[in-house]
Amino acid sequence: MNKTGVFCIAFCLLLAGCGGYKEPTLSDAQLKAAEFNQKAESAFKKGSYRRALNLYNEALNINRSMENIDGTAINLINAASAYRKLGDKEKAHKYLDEILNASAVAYRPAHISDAAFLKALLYLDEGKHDTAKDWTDRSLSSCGDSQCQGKIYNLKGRIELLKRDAVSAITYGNKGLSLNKAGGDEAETANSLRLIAEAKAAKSEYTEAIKFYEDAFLIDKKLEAGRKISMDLIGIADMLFKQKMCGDAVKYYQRALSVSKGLGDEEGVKEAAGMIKKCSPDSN
Amino acid sequence: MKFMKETDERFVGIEKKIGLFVLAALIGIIIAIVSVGLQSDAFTSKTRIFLIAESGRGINEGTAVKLSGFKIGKVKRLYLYDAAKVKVELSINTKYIKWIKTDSESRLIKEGLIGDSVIEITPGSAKAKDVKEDGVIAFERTRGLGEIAAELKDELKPALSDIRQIVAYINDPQGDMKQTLKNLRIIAEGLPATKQRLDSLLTDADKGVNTSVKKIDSLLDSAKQTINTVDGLVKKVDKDIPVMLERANKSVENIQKTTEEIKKATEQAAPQIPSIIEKGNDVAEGAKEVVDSVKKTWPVRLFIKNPEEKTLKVDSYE
Repeated sequence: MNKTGVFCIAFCLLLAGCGGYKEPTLSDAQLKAAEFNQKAESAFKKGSYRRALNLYNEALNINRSMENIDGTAINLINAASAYRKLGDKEKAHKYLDEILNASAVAYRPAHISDAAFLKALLYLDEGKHDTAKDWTDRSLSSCGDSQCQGKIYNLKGRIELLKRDAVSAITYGNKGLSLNKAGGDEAETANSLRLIAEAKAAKSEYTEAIKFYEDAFLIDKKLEAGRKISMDLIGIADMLFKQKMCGDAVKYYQRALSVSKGLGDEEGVKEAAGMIKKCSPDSN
Repeated sequence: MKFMKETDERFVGIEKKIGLFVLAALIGIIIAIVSVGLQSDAFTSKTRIFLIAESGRGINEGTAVKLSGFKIGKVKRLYLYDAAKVKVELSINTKYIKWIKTDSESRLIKEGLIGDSVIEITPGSAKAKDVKEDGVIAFERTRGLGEIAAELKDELKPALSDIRQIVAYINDPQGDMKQTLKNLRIIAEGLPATKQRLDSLLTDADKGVNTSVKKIDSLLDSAKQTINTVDGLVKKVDKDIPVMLERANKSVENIQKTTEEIKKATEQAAPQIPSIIEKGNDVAEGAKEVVDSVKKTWPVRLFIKNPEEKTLKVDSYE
């Protein structure tokens, strides 16, 4: 091909490229729904749960009007999360039941798994450990990848620990740990480590528990997960306290106190301050 | 007959080169026309419906028509209709016409407090039939800023008038308040004379009962002091009340003046506000269109992802 030919083809391509118009893959309504969903997520992360709920409901209505099943499921789950944070458990259950008891619509297994997982957390909040465990089973049966399996095993472990079965908790924790590591989910990996640490502590294996807490702490610090950093520090301090190493324990309690103050977590502040007081020489 | 010889290598096949160049330019122009047409919905099928308004105020050609917050069309034309009413022709994207029913209602609203005027159509009931081409739907106009200000003024007027009446009632020299104060003063003025009479009576009484007299004397002293205090108080109240009433009167007058000024300012500014807002909106809309077009243009579009809906990450330790 001579130079003129190459030039002509390049020119045509340039014109087509400049004038070309890429057909949008999302409709106006879909874009609006996505915008509401993203604004809601941002509000949720800032702790503005009421605003997040309103925005999720807006997105939900748009998805319902288009009969977009995936979008409807996503926003039902997210709105249920917001209701849970607002303490309205009845509404949260109602939204999740729409997915879990659906007969006319076939929701994706991943969404069913997420809804069942949230349902388990709601029952756990209510202290109904056996019902929560049943829902983790349902969540696991609909979950298809290692990432969601990992967090479900973590939750199962937490439930076992609350039922004072530390051995089962360690088994689930280890299962979750390997799945979360394989899936590359760092936050859930830290959760697995913390769960194992708590179970070891329940078995009075304090030195081993500290190692797991430290591993969890390193990941949580990397992820800047404030509340979990505080949990890890208090965990380490508790282990030192139980081994009568009050001097070292106080250092960790003070760090936890500082983190909790920064987060505005009143319960965390109260817990750490209480333990510091317990460790002081005057208390003996 | 040829005037020039085609001996120069650069002119060999010049017709083909020009032809190719023109062809490429034509293709480019066609693509540009098609893309501009697509962007401005020129190829979208439209359905014409009408609404009848009492006046065309606030409705212009191009005013957006919205349903559930989404733009579904625009005002195409306005005609003066029977009985000096205005017939508004709406051009609605045909794909959205299914949401407009025969019992759908339209109204002229402002987007936000000072937003642009838009015609909003309600979806209507599920039982009602779809509106057909050239169909007419009901229309109502929402209240504007001026109407709200006038209503507020009507509500404030009687309240101000009541306050003025109360002040006048207190200030009236023949009124109950003033008469009561006057009577109090007369009583207070009479008290010293009464005291003097009592003094002389007591002097004439049994001087032997010294202790009783002394007690009565001290009692009278304190009574005198009390009377003096009451007298002083009455005088002070009598002196202060007119000043207070005058101040209250001035305050009411000031409130009235301020209300009048606010009303005037609102009336002066009101006609300008819609045009300012309209201009601002036009500028914003234009900027948005430019940004949207740039976003859709190669190669920018390659770097922009469509937003997607996501499930919140629910943590097992939450």
